Amino acid sequence: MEEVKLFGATPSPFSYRVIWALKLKGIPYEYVEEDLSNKSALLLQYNPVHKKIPVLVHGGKPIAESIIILEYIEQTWPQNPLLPKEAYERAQARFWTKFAEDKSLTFYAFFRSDGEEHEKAIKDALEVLRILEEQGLGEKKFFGGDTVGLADIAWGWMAYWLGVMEEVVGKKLFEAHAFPRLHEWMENFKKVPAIKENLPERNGMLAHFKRQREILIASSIS
Amino acid sequence: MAEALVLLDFSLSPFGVRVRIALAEKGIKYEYKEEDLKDKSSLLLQMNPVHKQIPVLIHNGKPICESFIIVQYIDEVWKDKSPLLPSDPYRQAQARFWADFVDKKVVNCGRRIWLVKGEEKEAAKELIECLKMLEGELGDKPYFGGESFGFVDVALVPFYSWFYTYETCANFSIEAECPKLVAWAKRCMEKESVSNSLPDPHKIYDYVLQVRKRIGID
Repeated sequence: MEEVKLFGATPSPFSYRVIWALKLKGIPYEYVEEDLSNKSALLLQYNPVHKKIPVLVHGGKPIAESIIILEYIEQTWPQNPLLPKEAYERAQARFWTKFAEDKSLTFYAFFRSDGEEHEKAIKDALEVLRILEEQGLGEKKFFGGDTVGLADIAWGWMAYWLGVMEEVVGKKLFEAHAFPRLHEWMENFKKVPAIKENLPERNGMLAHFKRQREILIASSIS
Repeated sequence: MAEALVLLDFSLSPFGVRVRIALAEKGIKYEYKEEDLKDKSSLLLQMNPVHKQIPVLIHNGKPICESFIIVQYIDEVWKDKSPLLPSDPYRQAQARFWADFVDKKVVNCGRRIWLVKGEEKEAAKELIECLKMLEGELGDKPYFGGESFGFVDVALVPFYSWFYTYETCANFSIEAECPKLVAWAKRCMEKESVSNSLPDPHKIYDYVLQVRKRIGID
């Protein structure tokens, strides 16, 4: 098998999406940790358009953008599938995956803002959670059904990163009693071995996010 | 079976055009339903409760939403004719990447040119940068898909009919800056699936003027 390399940055949830997919499928890979304040020449060469992590390099050929990387991994290594076989169900999985992409800015706004913008972000984020709770999961254990799928991986950050964000911001967004299905999904997701064994260390994450929020708030005032 | 497929759409929407091109490429018959975006039908709200937006493809009563997801669905179900995505995983990833680039960059810059007062010059400059990157990706190929029309071509060509609007709002020439890209668009327009699906650029401009007036830009 050709060499697989992942350029990522802890604790980016986008990095972890790719790690989870590789682990779920049992694909060996080399991990390269990038310093986002000092990006390597190699990263800039592999992703000249966006200059971002994650980038997967397979046999020397780079693929960028986490969801696109996941689709590539799914096609190249079909074991432990992340997408259903049937076309309509695939379209549904891709819809909820895209919803995660579209709404990441809403949760980022919750994290980086204060004042009026923050209040709006809370309102928008709660609406997203409501949609997921009522229309996204349904009665399923995972978005993917009985096993973790593409949409679970796309939303996976919420099971672990959201709690840290809430602690840093000093505001609780997600109440288990208000979103019982989502709460159960989060608990089930974190129990999956490939996920449980591949989560960033919480204290380090807390410190990192605290620093980030300070910088973001300061830069929005000036 | 025309009754099995219904497309909820808005004639001027470039996202709807993507779906119309894909359906035409595959020679698929369907029923077209025009939506009034200021007075959305109960069918649309029922079929796309999350976003309440067009396009929505309804196949045997089941809705598929989001233009790229619809195009992929069409490509997978009617896979024997005019494939749009390459079968090779790496080439497919590249196609997804550039289609995503169109959505992240071209759509965004385009909107800022006509929808946000005072940003047209800067947005036009950024649009040209993005189109030049796409020209680089196109290279000497007749289409982004290579010898045949493909997913990235479907993603981008609907915006060709918006060039007139962008150029008029921000007073610049896309053809002067990106001649290769305009040549590519004209080549695509030689295909019936494209020329039959793209709206008249002047109709788009008239619509944009109406919207700008309504929201107080003009």
